[in-house]
Amino acid sequence: MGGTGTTSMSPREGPESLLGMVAARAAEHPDQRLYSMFESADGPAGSITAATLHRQVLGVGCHLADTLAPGSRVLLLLPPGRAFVLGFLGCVAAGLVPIPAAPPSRARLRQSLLPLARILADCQPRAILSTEALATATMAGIEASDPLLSIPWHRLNDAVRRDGGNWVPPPVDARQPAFLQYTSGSTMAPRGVVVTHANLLANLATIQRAFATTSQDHAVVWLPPHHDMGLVGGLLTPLHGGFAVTLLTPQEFVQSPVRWLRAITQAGGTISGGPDFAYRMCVERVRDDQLDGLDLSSWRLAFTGAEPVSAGTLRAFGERFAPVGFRPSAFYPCYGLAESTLFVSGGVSGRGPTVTPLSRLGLSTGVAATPVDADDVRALVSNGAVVGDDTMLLIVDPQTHTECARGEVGEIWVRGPSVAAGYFGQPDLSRERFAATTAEGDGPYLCTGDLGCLVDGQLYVTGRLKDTLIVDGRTLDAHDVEEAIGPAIHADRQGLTAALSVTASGHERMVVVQEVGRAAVAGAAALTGEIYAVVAERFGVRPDDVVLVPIGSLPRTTSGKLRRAEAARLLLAGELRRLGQGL
Amino acid sequence: MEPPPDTPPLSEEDIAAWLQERIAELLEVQPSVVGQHDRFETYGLGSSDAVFLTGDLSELVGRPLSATLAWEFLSIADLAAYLAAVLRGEIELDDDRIDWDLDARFESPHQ
Repeated sequence: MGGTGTTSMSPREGPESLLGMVAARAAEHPDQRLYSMFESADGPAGSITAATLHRQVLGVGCHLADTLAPGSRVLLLLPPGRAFVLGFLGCVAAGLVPIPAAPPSRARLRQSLLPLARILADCQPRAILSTEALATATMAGIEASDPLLSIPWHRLNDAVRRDGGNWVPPPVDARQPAFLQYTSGSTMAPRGVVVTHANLLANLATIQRAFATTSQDHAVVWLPPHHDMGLVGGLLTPLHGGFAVTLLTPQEFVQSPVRWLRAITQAGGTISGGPDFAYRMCVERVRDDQLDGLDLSSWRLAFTGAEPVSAGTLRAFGERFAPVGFRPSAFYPCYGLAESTLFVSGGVSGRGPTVTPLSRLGLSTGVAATPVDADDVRALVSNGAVVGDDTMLLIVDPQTHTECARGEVGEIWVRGPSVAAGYFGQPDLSRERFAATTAEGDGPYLCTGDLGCLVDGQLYVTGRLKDTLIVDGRTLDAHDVEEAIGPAIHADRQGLTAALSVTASGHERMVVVQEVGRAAVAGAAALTGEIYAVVAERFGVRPDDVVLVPIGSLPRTTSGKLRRAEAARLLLAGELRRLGQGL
Repeated sequence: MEPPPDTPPLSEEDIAAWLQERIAELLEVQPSVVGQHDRFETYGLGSSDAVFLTGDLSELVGRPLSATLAWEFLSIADLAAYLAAVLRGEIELDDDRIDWDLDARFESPHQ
């Protein structure tokens, strides 16, 4: 180990900063392997100890500080794993504002550059931090006029070689941005959430409390680090709590979902999770013969969030993996969003999920009520309650801004130290979304855009505000309609359903778009009939139109979620290829 | 993962038939609906399916494969021809994966 002072803490590196945490870990347990790569057939496992992490973070910070003034924005084009960890923390150490983003993909270069161009235009970073290999490959594949080339590129390979032992990092101002989190939301325009150091520290403390972490925990993470869940929940929560992480790449997980479970088995993982789709993938894609050798008994907290948590997924996963030691009581459904750093609410660790059958019809009229019969049941998984007394959560009527009565569905509003400073460069939108006040003048609150209700003090997220369909004076939740249709018509698992509200010549129309496989084309007429019937029966309304399209036609986010606004646009523009008509 | 040493390498036809079967399974359609010369994008295979397919395919051929392999070839026939040639040892597996996966192994000099 080179350099001096790597294990001593200067007053500027108090534990109340990310760099302070790195220093503290290095001081306590210099040889602890904080971040390790999962050893798969693909390559050797590498790991980084606390002391090395501290030394290299200082090296990267010192290198970047040569040419970049504190406060400069730096776009991170880094692969997940050690490179991302070092690049992100190095930026933070130098007082720079890192902007995590999905790095360019060689095979899909053009598609992967589009979101980057939007981020560049939105926040004009001063520099790009990448790796030698990724930089070389990207530069070889892009036009000389590409805006990515108008900004200086820094290579992490050079930066980690620097000896930052005598470098004095700039002081941290808690009110300043720690990073910009671009949301992968369903809309076109990117929004960079400004997360301050104070927000980040507050949220990390909240998560530590919610997850009841100890230094004996071991996290297993495959989540992409450029998303809030992967970054804050996956990489920084363990650093804050002083426990180790085993990392897989998102693609390693998607290529073969059993690798996630093998990594947990191998590492004795105690904390791991992801969105609902990840658990569903395991249920559908882990073969019986792959169960051999799995041992999930160490897994005490399986968080699930960022997507509607499906009771069906939890049950199926629990049943499938109980024989290899998975405990359903480990499930930890939670609610959060980048605008509140990450975490807003969750259950009590170790207690398992609370599933409550509510009336579908009732929810469509905005009330949590007891179902009238089995068909009327919408089994909702509780997203828990806020953790700690510094965060407040309200359910608010989005029109009148008055607080809803208990059991009424309204927009979820959040107030507390984790609520971010706003969207970068958008003061008006930020005021509207991050500093709302109730009709009683109480505030400021973050308007999450999510709909939910409180039942017995537990939050149930029911849908998205903007995904509301107004049909014949009824307010329906698009998710709810979509959830009802798919299983009722035995749609292909691959096929998305979109319940859309499109305004054509001033008239709001409800259109259901269903993706179908080729095999279903023959029965197209019958299928559309069934969809009309299901919606009529369950929701008492008739869609203005039902459209069948080939699987893959509907626009999705990178995580496979329907981009509803974009789908509506394509539909209006006539850009969706209809099946079953003239075929 | 490694195939037994004595078995002859999988032929182009074997791999193509396997891909056809597997893609049909993912799309929940009859294999006959999936044409070996159809361009991949006409199937409407989702991106996570395409990545998952490479995981299974990698088990079949006993080699680690790039997660984005399906985007680098036009059709089942194309991909099968390439992999068969790799298995016969005629060409090197293009393992230059400048993507999510390769650089994740980013090694730093002080380790």
